[in-house]
Amino acid sequence: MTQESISSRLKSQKVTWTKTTRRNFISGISFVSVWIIGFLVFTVYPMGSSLYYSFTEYHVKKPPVFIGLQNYVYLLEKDPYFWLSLKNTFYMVLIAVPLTLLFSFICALLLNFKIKGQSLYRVIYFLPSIVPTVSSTLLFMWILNPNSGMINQILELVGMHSPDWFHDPFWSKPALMIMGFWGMGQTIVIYLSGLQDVPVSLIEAADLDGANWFQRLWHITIPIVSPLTLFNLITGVIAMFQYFTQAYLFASASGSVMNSSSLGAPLGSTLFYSVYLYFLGFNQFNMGAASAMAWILFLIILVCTLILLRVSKRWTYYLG
Amino acid sequence: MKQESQFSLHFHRNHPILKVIQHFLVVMVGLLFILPFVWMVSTSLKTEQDVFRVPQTWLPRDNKTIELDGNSYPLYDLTINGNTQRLALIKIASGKGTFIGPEDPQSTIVEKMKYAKPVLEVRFRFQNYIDAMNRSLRPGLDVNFWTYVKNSLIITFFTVIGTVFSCALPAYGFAKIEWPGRDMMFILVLSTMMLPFQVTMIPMYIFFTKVLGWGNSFLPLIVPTFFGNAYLIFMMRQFYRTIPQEICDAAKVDGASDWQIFLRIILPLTRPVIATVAVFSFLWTWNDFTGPLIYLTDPSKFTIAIGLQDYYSQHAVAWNQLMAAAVVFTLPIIVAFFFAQKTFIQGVKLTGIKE
Repeated sequence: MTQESISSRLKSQKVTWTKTTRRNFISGISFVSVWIIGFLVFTVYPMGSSLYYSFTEYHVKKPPVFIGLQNYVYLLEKDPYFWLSLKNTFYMVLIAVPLTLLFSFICALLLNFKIKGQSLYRVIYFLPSIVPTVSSTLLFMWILNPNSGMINQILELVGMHSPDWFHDPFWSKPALMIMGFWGMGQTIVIYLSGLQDVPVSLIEAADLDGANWFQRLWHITIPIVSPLTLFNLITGVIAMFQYFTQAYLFASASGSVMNSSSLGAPLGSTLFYSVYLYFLGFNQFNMGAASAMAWILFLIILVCTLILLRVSKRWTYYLG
Repeated sequence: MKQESQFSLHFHRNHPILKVIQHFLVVMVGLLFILPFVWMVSTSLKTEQDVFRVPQTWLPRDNKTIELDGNSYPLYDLTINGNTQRLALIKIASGKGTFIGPEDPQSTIVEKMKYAKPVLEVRFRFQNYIDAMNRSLRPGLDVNFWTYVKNSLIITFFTVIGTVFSCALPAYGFAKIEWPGRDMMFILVLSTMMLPFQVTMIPMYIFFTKVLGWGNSFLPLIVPTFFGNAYLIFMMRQFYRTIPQEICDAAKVDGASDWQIFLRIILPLTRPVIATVAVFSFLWTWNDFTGPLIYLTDPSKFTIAIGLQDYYSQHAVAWNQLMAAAVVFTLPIIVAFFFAQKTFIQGVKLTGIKE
């Protein structure tokens, strides 16, 4: 063995990368580089800045002034709107998200029936979910119109009268939920894909053992789709914490321009977390407090996700 | 069939009664999903009076008219002393209408309008669409529906190009090249999905508007899309991994570089995926509300997603025009969906992408 090859061998041992590995590394990094730049500029940098802003008094015109934890203390101890927005958001997370999952699952069960026109029905159930949020919100403002709306027409057929969804703080959130149920097609699709994966052999075995439809559903189907339930739950919760467009449009329909006296009309019932964050940031230009809210939101989402993952171990089942 | 089924209420899965029940349920729930669409289109074809007429009907109605001396007049059923006549209304003044009978145009009847009921017929008012498209949406400004559509199209066009380019490359890097640190970095990609956009929203706003001076321009909405989107990178990677590695390996043995493999083999093989990514990014951009709301301040720069609110003014909402505009706004999305339906659904299943 020549001196040269030994030394080159030693070198390569130090780095422990072969020529192919190195070539692959350069190649891989260059393919991914677009994302790396984006990650640094549009994720790492703004995350750092917003964390910094959250500890400052910052109203855009003047440079930020460090004030320590004051934004957080103010939000948590003195700002009634902060707690109101959090309460409203949790109301939706605790009621709208589970209901969406339940209804989606039922719809997926229906779409899994082996009937004629199945694929057409699947398109029909799915289509509303791709309608632009702005369109569907404006449409439902019209559908829910207490005098001439579609819902009122239907309710009057059975002798009831539509509530005033836009001015009654009790009914404003259910109105938003109905709007949401219409566009739950993507959750349905995810459940449906799970139902199609339920092994026929299991169902047949249960059939032979004399299990009825409900027993099969309860003991086989629901456990098998439980990982998807977890998935839908986590994505649903995360999305609900960021609920904005619908509430923003809805509040403007109830007559509130963005000002502090009529936030989240009617009577603050649609003041959700992201709506208040937007108000602080882009109406009051209180970037410090808005950044603090963003970080609290991030923490809440992280904690909720971790809790869900932890608790889920008790009720999710994985085949194989 | 087994013996015990006769005793329990245990239908076989293909029992005809069961099929009927199943069909009934699917159709009933399907109606709930489809009726809002019907209501939307129906409202968009109604006249202003018909929108608020009680009771409402599913089919748009308008006054039945009659031609007299080259003019057309609406027909009314006028009831006097229990006698109903079908007459044409030619004039209204202080709550009283002047009616003439079609057979005898010379003799006029003047009667209070409350005794007159309009004669209605089903008629679709397509004029609403033309009115909604051409009407000026901001007093004093030359801004209408087409201004907003044009802005949306410009932003969407560049966004789709940027997204496809900036997601396909990293997806290949993550799926088809084996390199040290790849899996760590991919976890980083996935973890950015957890980050709520509210966290980065404020610094990005300050960066784009104060540092770069891009306020009220399309650039803050377009430029970030040229640097990859975690969801779509993930989705494309999942698709790329389904392509047999042997194909790439064989090409490598023949001396092809990764760039050649990507351009000559992977891209042509995965056209449906690219279509799906394009459709997703089109959908998101077309729908995006928060981005334009934050960055665009001048109505002449508004996208259609935020401009649609202009039809919704506090005092008089022209629901028929608003619905017409919403139909036109929604239609491209529906078309795009049918264009890439199969892979689109597959994408939703693979990644659970939601808005």
